[in-house]
Amino acid sequence: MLPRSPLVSPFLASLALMAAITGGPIVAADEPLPAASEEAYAETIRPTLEKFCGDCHAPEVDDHVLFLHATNVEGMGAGRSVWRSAVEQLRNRTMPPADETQPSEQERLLLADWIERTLEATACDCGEAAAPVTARRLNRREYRNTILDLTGVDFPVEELFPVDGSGGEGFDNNGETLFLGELLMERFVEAAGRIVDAAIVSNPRTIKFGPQDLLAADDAKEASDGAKDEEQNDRPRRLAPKQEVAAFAPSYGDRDYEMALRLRAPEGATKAVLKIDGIAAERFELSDDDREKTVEREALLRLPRGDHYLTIRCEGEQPLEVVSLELREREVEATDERKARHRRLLGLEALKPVENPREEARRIVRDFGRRAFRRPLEEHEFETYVALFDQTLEAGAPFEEAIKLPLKAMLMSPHFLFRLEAAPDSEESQPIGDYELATRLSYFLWSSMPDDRLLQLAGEGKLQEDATLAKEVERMLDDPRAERFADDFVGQWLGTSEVGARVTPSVDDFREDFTMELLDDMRAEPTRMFAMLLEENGSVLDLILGNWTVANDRLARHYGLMKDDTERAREGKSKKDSGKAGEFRKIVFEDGRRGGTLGMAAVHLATSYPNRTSPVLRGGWILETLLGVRVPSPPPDIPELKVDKKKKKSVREALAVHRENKTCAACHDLIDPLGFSLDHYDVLGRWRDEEGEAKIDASASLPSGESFEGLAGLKEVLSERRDPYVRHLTRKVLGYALGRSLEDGDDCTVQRISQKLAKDDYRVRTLIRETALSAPFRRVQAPANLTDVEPHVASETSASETKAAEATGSAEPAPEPAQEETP
Amino acid sequence: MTAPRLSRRTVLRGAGVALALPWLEAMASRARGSETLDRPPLRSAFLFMPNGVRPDHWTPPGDDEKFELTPILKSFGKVKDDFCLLENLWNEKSVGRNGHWPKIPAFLSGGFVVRTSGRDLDVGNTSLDQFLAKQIGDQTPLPSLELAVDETYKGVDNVGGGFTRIYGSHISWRDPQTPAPREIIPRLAFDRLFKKGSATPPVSGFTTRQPAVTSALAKADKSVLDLALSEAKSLDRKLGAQDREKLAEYLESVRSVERRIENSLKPQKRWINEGRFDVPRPGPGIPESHPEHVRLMLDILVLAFWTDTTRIATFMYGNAQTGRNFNFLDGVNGSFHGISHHQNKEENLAVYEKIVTWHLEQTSYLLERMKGLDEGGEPLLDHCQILFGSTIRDGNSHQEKNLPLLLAGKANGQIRPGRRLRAKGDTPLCNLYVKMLEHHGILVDKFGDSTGKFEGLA
Repeated sequence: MLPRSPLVSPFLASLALMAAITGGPIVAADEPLPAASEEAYAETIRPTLEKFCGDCHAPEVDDHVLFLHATNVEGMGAGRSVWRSAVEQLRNRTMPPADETQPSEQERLLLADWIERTLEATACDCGEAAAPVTARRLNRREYRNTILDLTGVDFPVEELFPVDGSGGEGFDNNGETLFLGELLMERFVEAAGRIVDAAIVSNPRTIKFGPQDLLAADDAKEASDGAKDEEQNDRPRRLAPKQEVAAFAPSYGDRDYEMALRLRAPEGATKAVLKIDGIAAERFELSDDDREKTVEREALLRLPRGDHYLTIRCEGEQPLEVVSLELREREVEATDERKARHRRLLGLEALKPVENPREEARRIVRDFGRRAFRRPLEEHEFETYVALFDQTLEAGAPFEEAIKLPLKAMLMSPHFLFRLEAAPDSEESQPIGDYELATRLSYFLWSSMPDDRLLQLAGEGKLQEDATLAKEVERMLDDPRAERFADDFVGQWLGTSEVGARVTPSVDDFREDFTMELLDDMRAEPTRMFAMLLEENGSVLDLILGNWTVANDRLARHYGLMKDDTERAREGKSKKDSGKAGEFRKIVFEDGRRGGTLGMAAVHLATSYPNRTSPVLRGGWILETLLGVRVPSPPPDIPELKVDKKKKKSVREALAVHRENKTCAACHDLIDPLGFSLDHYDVLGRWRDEEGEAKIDASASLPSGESFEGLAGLKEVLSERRDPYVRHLTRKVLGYALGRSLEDGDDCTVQRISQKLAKDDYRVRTLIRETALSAPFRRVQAPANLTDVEPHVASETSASETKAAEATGSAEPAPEPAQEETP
Repeated sequence: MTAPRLSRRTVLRGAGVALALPWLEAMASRARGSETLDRPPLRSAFLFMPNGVRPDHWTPPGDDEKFELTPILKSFGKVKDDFCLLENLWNEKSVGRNGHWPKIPAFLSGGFVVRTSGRDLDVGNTSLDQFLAKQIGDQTPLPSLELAVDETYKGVDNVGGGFTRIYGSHISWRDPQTPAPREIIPRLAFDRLFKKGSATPPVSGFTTRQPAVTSALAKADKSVLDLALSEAKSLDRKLGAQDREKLAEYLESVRSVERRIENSLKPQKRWINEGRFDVPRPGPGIPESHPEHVRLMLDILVLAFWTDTTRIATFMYGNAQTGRNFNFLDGVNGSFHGISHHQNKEENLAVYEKIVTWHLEQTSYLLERMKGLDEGGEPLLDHCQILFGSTIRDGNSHQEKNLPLLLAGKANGQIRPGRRLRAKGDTPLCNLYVKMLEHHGILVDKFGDSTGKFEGLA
């Protein structure tokens, strides 16, 4: 039965919103408006939209924003992004503009919900799409992993590179929001140098300057030096007071040198100063005893990469004689590990002379280039890099130093730092390049470069075959590197990757209750569980419904699962000293108190304030993160809920007051109950039966009439909502895999993958495999030449401009903002 | 011979050589015979404070030069005559939609910030500091310096309306689509001031008998960069529009690095200060104590100006909506953002005020430090214009009008500080920016949403 009027009751609207979550029928007398129903559109939706939006957007008024042009549901398909934007604007209250008649909160919900469900129902009407992916710079962790897999060097990226922001589906591998900038480029240059220095073992050099190898300070003196020959090199160089001599020495990296000076004081006590690049680095004093004998003095100095100018100056009253100056490069210890790395990288023994340097260099450049660029080098590229080696070798550098240069150059190249893909030349979808596919795949599952096998399959043109691709996905998931996917994806999806960093409990309130190690364990728990799912090909439903987790002893003690807490206390150990960490292992819960992400401390902490829990944050998190419901942003100027500890009003009571306000109730009737069910977990995720003096009440009921209690009850509620959960998880995985914002055209792909997933018992590997096999992952097409503009920029501006104009009291309309460029 | 152990002192000295500590740098510049300016140049800094101020205690009694310092401003006693309190300025385009995210990039750009999770990132305008850096940044080793203390926030704020948190982490924007990366680690920020690319040129007046050697390594390093540049250029043709943008960013970044190497070989005409101003090289990582972290970053900012390494700097006291706990202050415990939603309750306001006051204390510390440094007979501060402010007046209501702003320094005689300056109601903040640009000799008709030029500073 359809409501007769567009002005529906709040009750119905709440049901409608719930339907958005369940995507299925609600146990109630009244059905929500059926999605994609022409009748619903004609009788309810369109009239309501006309009432509130028609003044500006009726087809005869506005040929710009096309949403009211649709005369039927099919017509909506022409402007899906416009309709999606309408949903967002309704939810965010950015439309209609503030000075126009506003729909009630219930009407907003009804409209937004119906449009959203209709878009979902019609997702595949236009088939799958394959939008191009913006060139993605390697983010910080991808850079670290790639360098590790490429060179064996574990480069400390956290020390040097700033954190990458995130965008798109909320991940830090989103090409559109990965920037470079001068600062980061400087770091990439520095890192490239440090990496090749660490990867390649070079022979420590010793440079010896005899008296005649030293340059005079000025031309006049130089002239009087007379002819120099080997014989004279045996005679010490005599420096009058204030006179100086110099030498040039290159340092191929930032290295430490012992500088040994052999000096004499022929006429008695005097002073010498050693300068590096004009700056005094070390002073020496010679006594009267040093008249006859030569003394050796040493200085230890670090010289950065570059050519350096060393000066010895006589600073005493008496002359100084320089017998020799020797620079001994300090050996960076060539450990077996370093030598092995050198051998793996170059195919040559460390510290051994190289027989055919030019040939070896060509082999190395070709091999390293193929792996660094994730495709074979083109011939002209190869020539350029080889030339770099040849020039450096000819300039007198040792082989190890000369070979570093082309490798370093490759590590700074856009072909290494970015994942570049050829632009599609047609609006028809076409397969992406074989090497591009190998690269997409390896960064999806390993957050790193493709291995030799992937490159080989790409080279043979086999990777695009369904069976081969599927087999490779299996192989890659079996590889330990797949743990990186678990880490990077799950932590960012759930928001738990920030635990221990931005997300920490208030130290003042919980000083005795946690350690950084415990926070590390908390952060690891969801990713460990996901990794185990991947390993066992378990059901993705276990993440929300499962009765198990993966934890170590420290977490188990934290959860009160291991009974040695009191014993430890008896031994005089503080609670904070949580003893041995132990191995992560699967733990099954029979009592229903934990199991799945909703029983995890990391989730409880990430959805709390630092000093107290918040049912609103937790409820909102369940809706947003697990079910993909866009919770509308609160209207402006809503004060944060404050719990007055003196009045002993519980959060729950305070929220009840809050919900008496109908505007608030529209959303909070839905958010808060979900959060209440997790009230047994404190900020740190520990079980509690009381909060202060109040007993915990984890019972809740939804607007649909469903009553439930605690985590077990919540899981029952969620098990009825597995479809939106699976759809949302699929969106997240696809968004992560592609590294771009999802578009309208991806709706169909998401739907197809989630349907396959449901049919295959929700097995996680099916999700991964289908994502890898999907059209947007393996194919690409040029964006259609869209003529309709992105509506939300223009309309949002006008909304705020109106508001602003109102505020200033200015009669003049604010200027129209520049139109966004159409892609 | 047994190898002597590298002593701490030696390493430090080595690092000194590698990094050329400020006074050494000055000596070296002189020795290199580089040209120097005959009067100190103008420097501009922009300091951002998140979460607004306690509004009812911000505005002082008294007018013009006779204004009194409110408790929030009491730390400004020693520099009362060195700053102007600015009133009635705002960024009109930052109004509404969300209390924080879109307002942060607008602080220095005055632009309209597009709501997006990342795809259509657009802040409407280049920020003032980056605009300035494009005009005068080539005169110093670093075009500009972007400092902060919080890591870039991750994720998209869906509850807050679908803004990527990148917006809340950047006040400096190289162009409307590209934020300028910030440095939050003191040591890296410090080192960056004194690194000269890869080559270290000789500094004393020697004639070299081996000129080829002197620049061989620098040449090699430069040829590596050239190679990167030519690769990126040849790629350009094969890419889509968005990819070309990313490549353009790469090209620009590589060129900047290259310029730095070139500059080190052929120094710029700079201002060289006499005397010493020592800031020890900071230890690695981020200091545990927040006050220490902030002080270090501010010291580095002063050092950058004093050594004329750059003339443009930004500093963010925190990202938008920072929930940092300022519990090192007496009577404060809880998230700064949480506390800023004070609900007009006196007990909350009092705590809020404490946090705000602390930020002002840091700012007055910076000004005092700059005032104490002599530069050609005048304090460094006189050769600066330093804007401090927040993008909302009140953390509770997110009020965009009448932003809390201070402008310190004399801008080489172009500002007469020590006054409370009240603009006409709702004057665009960008009007001030047009004037600040003029102080640098850059004349523009319009910046952001400016409607004219802010007058009355002199």
